[in-house]
Amino acid sequence: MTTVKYLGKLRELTGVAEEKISQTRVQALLVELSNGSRAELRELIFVDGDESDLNEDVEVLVNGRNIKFLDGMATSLDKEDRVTLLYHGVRGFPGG
Amino acid sequence: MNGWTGKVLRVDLTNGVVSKEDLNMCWARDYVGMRGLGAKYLHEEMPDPTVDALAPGNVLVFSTGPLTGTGASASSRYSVVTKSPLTGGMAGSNSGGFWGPELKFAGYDMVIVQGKSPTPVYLWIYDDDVRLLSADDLWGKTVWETEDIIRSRTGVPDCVIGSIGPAGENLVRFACIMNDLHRAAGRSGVGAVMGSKNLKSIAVRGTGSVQVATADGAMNAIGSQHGKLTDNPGVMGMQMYGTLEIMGVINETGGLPTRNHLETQFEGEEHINGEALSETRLVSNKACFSCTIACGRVTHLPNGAADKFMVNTHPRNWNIAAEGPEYETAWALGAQCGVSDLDALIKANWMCNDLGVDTISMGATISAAMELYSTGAISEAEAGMEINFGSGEALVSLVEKTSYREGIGDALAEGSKRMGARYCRPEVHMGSKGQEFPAYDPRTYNGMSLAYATNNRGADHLRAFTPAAEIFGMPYMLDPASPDGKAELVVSLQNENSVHDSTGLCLFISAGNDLEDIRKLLVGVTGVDYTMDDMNTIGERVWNLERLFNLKAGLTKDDDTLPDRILKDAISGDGNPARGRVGLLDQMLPEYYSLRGWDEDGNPTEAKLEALGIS
Repeated sequence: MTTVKYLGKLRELTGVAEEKISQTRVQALLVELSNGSRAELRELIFVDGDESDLNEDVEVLVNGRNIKFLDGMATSLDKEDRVTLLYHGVRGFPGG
Repeated sequence: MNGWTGKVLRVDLTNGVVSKEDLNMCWARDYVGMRGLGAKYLHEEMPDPTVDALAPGNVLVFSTGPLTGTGASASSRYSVVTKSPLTGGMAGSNSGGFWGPELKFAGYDMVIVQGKSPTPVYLWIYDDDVRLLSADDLWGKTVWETEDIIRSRTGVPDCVIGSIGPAGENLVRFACIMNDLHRAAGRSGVGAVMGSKNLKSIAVRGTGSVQVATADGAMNAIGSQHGKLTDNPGVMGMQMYGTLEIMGVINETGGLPTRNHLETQFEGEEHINGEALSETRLVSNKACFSCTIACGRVTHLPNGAADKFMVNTHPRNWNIAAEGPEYETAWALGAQCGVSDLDALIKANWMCNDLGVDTISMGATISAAMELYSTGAISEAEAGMEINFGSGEALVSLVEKTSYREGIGDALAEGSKRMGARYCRPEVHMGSKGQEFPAYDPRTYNGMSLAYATNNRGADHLRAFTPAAEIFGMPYMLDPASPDGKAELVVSLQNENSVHDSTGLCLFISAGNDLEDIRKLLVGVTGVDYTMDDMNTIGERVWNLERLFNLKAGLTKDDDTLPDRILKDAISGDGNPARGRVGLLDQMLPEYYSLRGWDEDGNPTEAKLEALGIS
């Protein structure tokens, strides 16, 4: 199963640092991890509830590489993969 | 006078004379303030930059910007510009808190310090009342003790104080100047220069205000700026986790230098990151003057932690709420030293603040010493204890020993480059121009290879921060492993940050504000009709002037380089996303020089200097 790691605000919303999810595409993984009681997370990840439209402030990394460098929401996943999610408070300025 | 006060304090320590003079307004318009204007004054006042940085001939400039002390968000900044004892080039360190605004309220844009006092002194500024006072009994005191004593002695509890601690007095080459107890003009050893002049503190109280060109113009620009920082995800993240929020993603992308860059992912990251700090040790966040971001971390140590790491330096305070760590500090004292004990980091951070040393160079130099110890170059007898990677006890002890130059601390106090040379192991220095790297491995993010190598004050993350593009695609996507496009990005960021650093604003407003927002603030406050072309030219002018100073000081193209560990040793580690990467500096540097309009040896051409109005 793919390991999903949450950073910052997304960790606060999910209540977990990491979890395992079995999906083969990033989009399907995002849908699954934001289902059920995680309405606030879902609202944050998708624009107006559109599951094909990722909030530009949410960053998804697969094995440390931003999906913007890969196939975006269509990026395929393997069970050994590691996905990192953050609602970026990292807007282009460095740590202090 | 709008924005600027138009007045400069000149302090001749050798003769004990303080005088007031008009600010050179031509220079102010061309270099704005803070870092830029400080660089201009230093360049003009120090015609021989080859002078020893710790000799009386060095000049120490404290410089605010026209936006310092205004209602603009994060308008707290002042710069300290001088020749660095760590790099031999120009130092330009800035700090927030309340000291810069207070100097403006007292009626001064700058303080220029020359010569050397025969005995320890501090400078007292209360509006027009400016005096040099004896600091004989303050010498040897820590930063926090010094602030307490000066407030008590003067009977002015709301004065704002900038001081050096024992590290500055002992000429530790990366000593800093602290204000408001916890805010640091941290890098490049500006505190050692202050110590070399026997100047302990500058205490300021001002009752005036900053005049603006037109109330409507200034308030419109300020209102717009504030609006863009409200409900901004970047700002909200900083409020919740401080700058430490970034640690997780840096580790996930394989860029968190660990154990002196021998690795680039830290297994203990979850113990020292922003989430861990917020959940276990955070008391509250804290703002500098007029800041709507409030990224500062007020932290505490739990009962019992006080006795966990015993040191000689006043064992009081260790349970109290003080400030830090920020990201760079948590990395330098944590991952870089292999230490995952958050309490050790907090204690070491507080000690750095109280003793007055730069947390980045301190942690990085300790990690270099730990590497020397691991290879037997430093013995346990010489170190006085085991100083293995991962030891919180060694971390805390070495901060103290370094600040007082006790035992092995005397070697660390010279910085990792000179320490490595002393032990015939120069490869343990991980930095450029003698200054230690900050918290981003330049192999992982190749833009930082170029940024570190070319930065005028040595390795640094605040002049050009390329991981934003290489991880998040801001301002545009660039492959972190590739050299392509990095020269153009680095030049652009260096220029932009040079003008930003000259205004009086904190760099962190770039979470929601761009250069156009800053331009509007400058126009609204000063009444000078700066255009965007002007802004870009000012940034380029500042960068070139700093470069020119460095060349006159003796630095050359050969100093625009990186350690072999970065250039030759590929990142390793199973599962590390950056595995196999090395620094590709040689593929970027020629293009960088060309884009700068410099010759192939990195010298600004006459035509370039003339175009920028630099003589």
